[in-house]
Amino acid sequence: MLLLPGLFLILFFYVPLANLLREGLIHDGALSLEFVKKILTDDYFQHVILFTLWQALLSTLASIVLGLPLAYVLAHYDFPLKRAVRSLTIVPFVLPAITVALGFALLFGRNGYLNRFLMGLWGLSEPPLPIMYSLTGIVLAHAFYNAPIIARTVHAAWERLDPRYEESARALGASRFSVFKDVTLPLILPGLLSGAALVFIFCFLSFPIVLSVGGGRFSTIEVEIYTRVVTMLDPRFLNYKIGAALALVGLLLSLGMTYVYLRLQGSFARQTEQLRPRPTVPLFAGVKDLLRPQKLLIWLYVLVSLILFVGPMLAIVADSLWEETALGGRWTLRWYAYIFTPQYEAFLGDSPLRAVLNSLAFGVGATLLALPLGVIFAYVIVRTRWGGRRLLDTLLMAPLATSSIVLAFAFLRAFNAPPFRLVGTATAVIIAHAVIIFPFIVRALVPVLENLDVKLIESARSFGASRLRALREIELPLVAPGLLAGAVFAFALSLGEMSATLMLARPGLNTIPVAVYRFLSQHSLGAPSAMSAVMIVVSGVAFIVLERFGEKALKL
Amino acid sequence: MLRHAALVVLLIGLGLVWSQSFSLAQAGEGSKLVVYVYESFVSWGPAKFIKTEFERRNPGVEVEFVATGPSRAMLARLVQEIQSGGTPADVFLGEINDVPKAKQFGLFLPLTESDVPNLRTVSKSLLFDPERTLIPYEHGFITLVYDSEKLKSLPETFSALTQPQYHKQLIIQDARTSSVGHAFLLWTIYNYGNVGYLDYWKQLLPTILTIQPGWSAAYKLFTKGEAPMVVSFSTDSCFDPRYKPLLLNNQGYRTIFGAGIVRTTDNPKLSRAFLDFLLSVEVQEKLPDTEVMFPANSQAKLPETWRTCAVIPPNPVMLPLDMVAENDDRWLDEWARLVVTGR
Amino acid sequence: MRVTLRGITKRFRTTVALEDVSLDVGDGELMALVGPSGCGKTTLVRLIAGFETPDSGDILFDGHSVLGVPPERRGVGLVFQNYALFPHMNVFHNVAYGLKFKRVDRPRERVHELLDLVGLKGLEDRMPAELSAGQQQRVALARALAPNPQVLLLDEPLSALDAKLRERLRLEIRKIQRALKITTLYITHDQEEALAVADRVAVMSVAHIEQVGAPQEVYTTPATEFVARFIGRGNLVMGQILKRDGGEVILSVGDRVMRARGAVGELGQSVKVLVRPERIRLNHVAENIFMGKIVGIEFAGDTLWLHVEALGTTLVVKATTLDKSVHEGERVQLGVSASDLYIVPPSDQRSPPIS
Repeated sequence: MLLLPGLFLILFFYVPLANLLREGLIHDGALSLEFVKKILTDDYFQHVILFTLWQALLSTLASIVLGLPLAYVLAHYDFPLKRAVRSLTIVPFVLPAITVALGFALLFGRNGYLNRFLMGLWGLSEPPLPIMYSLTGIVLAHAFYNAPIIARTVHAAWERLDPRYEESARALGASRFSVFKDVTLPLILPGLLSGAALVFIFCFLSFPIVLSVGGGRFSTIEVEIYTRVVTMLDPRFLNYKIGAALALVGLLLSLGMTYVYLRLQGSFARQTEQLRPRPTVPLFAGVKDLLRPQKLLIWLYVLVSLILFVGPMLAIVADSLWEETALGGRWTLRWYAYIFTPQYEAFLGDSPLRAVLNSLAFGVGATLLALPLGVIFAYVIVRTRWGGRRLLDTLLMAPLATSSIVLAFAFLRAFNAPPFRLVGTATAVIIAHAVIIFPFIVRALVPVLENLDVKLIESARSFGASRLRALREIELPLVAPGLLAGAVFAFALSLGEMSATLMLARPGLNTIPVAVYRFLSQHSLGAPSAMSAVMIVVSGVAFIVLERFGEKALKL
Repeated sequence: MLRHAALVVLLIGLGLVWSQSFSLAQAGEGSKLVVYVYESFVSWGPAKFIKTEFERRNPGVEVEFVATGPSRAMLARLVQEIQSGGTPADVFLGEINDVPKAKQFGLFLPLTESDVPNLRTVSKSLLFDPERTLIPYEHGFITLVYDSEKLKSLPETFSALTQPQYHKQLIIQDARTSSVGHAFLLWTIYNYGNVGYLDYWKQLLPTILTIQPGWSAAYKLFTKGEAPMVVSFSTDSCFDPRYKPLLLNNQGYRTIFGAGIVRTTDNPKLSRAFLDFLLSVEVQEKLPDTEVMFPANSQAKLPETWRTCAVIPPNPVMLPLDMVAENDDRWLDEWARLVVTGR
Repeated sequence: MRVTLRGITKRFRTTVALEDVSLDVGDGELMALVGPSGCGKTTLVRLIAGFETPDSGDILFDGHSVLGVPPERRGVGLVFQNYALFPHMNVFHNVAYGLKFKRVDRPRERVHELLDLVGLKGLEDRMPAELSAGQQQRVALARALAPNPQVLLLDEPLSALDAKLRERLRLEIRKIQRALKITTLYITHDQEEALAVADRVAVMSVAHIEQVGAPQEVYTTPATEFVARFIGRGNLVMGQILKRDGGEVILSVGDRVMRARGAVGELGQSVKVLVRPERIRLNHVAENIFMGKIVGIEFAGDTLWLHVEALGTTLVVKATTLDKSVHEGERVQLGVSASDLYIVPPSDQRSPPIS
């Protein structure tokens, strides 16, 4: 049973990747560690590697600081549209980095809304918040993407935490803060750490954000790989080989982190308890309540997160409705009319509407392909009892530790000749997306399958249920929440994927993020914002629908 | 469970193979002309007009523009594709500084005036390549561009640009990923020399607000008011008079774009026709308005407004191409080390 | 510490958890709060502990309102049904946790003293997962008592244990509570436990308290039909008041005329009459004598529970195993003294029937 998906992974991941990385180990036709040695000893590459780790660490911390309060609010309070808000927390995740960079520039830039507002408020001549084009900007943009991941994983852990632990502590005299420090935090820590490890990996591999928000003065391993492989052509392909060696070093580092992540997730899964749902209280409880110190802190957080998370998106939407004119500017819908005119655009290769349809089709196709892969691998991992299980797990998760840019290079190299001349076909895009997203389905399923009592299935079968029936009536309903969560996240990743799609796609196969990228390279400034706004709306609606109706269909 | 999942994988796999064979069949028809080109040409260049008009004149032919990156990235893609089994590209459009690279790899067919009759209309000053593997079709000048409503006191020279009053006032492009950024780097090397340019860049760093990956991202930040100066083209005020060129040391760095035919093409005849069409007066007269560049065809008329708005620098400069070919990798490496580590 | 609840009402969205509840727990008293699940007991505990705020009414400790006081400053000890021992701390640190927030001389000694009190000396280094359920319960108690709380709230402290252990532990809890003289509210759904352990019992039905009294009092003179049904095993038979005779009442029950005690009811009114199984005696001469037919026998060691058809219903009668002669189908004569027939005050409409 492992044969088919195993073959798939070998054919579409390990072989192309190994083929690319091999370049970094060959010097003058012989096996050599020359390039790896160069990377590890050259102070420039050391700087790049250390900076990569440093910014990933800071970004992870920022994501925790900004994600934890959201997890707290979701776990403790009830408010109107709570489910929708929860669904919408994935939206930042699908936004292409250039969109986020644009939104950040519009909001936090030197001439952005925030700085202009503060300058007007305090009568300053210089912008007070130097957020953009700095490490701060990179870290905040990473937090924009990843704080929701922290919030979602911690929320899941928090919901499973019996509130009576905290109540016992309070009755024993502990203040709210002590309760959090001594009881809540240690108990949700495994969930928090597993989320943090995932975020660290994402930030470690992040590439377009560093390039766009930080700018060229900041270089990470991935940026370095990109510039070496894509632009610094030399007849002996030395830069290409250095890029491959960098990819190898980066992959080893991120595989190490993946291993840590899997261990943490394992301990998290063991700890989960099936308990009564955590009681929630209304967030809005009368006028007096609004001013309690604790609520004031929450409002402060809401304000900060509105600025940080909603602000850039609103700035993009505002930008998409604005037209600069000789007299200053005016509100307009022309950018939307423009992007939705179903006409051929040379820079897209086809119509923008087609990009929306492609995005959804690739997302669905890749998710459908990734689902069985994920399910089978999750089963294999859970059922494997021999010692090398964690190693097998790490190997299967290797796509998680591989940046999409490296994957795209590997694809360009491997599938440009028969028998697999895939470059430039929808197949290549869908397969690449499936390889990128299936680890998340595995991750969502493994803990659920581990908790699934084998006796349940056995007892169902002892009552005469066929294997299929036991599957349908016992396993599926129990596994469904994990499956749904994984599928939604996987779909989100596919929707937002840009780097690999841009390199693999040909005209006619553009997705929304690629279209945004294309519009951005145009002289007109409203169109990319309009296309980004379309992305925000399409993905937001998709997530609400997926989570709401997915839950209904699975009878959760 | 496993058996069913495996079945689904199998079915999807079959579906993919089917869809792939479908798209291959489409690709194999031979009347399709694939053009590899840098992004901005298709984004706001004349690509749409060229495609429509060329297809109308050559019934049954389909033009496909592939633009997955800046000029340099397209060249690298072409090289890597040829190395790993072949490229679908027939025609390549790119920047002049890529020519030495292209020559090193022997990517393009040499062309004569009998292949491309319109070649004889191209100004002789632009014919940088004696073998005519890349034929110039447009040119322009890289300069700084400033926001006339924001910047009142202008730096006239490269050294003035490093003064504290201009700190954080300039947006540039990454020399490794953008041909505009690359040209700006070459311009500083022209003025400060093969070695001295690094010292100049050290002093220039405080002036730079950000180094963006491409021209378009940089220009968008510039027009959004993030900084009053950006590296761009001398013809920019033809697009918006508010933005004016700033000729440091009275110079502008020459940038020339050329078209070539990929050696492995199956459509040499169609490709030649395409190049000829690109050089025709009809297309060439579209270039000022779309690419905001000067046409290479000396017979093409410039728009009336260009007489005043298009600035031609008194001293157009350019490093010899063989010098660029010899040193470029080192320069880029040194430059990247400097801007990233500050040392 | 005296705990007083005054007219407490608490609503959650659409449901009323507590309605106008008043209760007074005396200093050093062990008050058992007993009622079926979902009646609002736990809400009451959470209100006293400070995790919830009442919609109206007041909570007073020694006459001072504690409504604005957060849980950590109320000085309340709390033990949950699942104990909620901190799973990441060992026994010692669990018990010591509450001492961190108080100025306690020699906290180590205090922890050992408490573990000694609950009989867990030597288990300081165990993690909660390594303890049996009974041991966990004792740790929870020790932890709650460590900071010297003024009030102890036990929310179903024994429900998760098996019957034998439950009986032993409730005696221990009682002993400790007596020794420390700590005001205690003991929540349980088990009326037998409540009667066994408490100084006074408060019986709750949905959202309100039906009766408060000594275990004896609640058992023998239930204030409402709900209490009569909920506390102990009992027989409720319908009767009609015919006349009063001094302190007693003459009523017709089935086809018999009987004498009962109880001052309630008007002439001609239909009432429910409670008679406890142990008060119906076989072949016994008393004020009220009637015949019945044994339709079922439950053997319970020292006791025989007889189901007897009589007075137009089926009565439960407690006999001892000494009454060997009984067998199913037999007709027997039953005697009940007038003081053992108790007329239940007519209950209002609120109390639902108890199965």
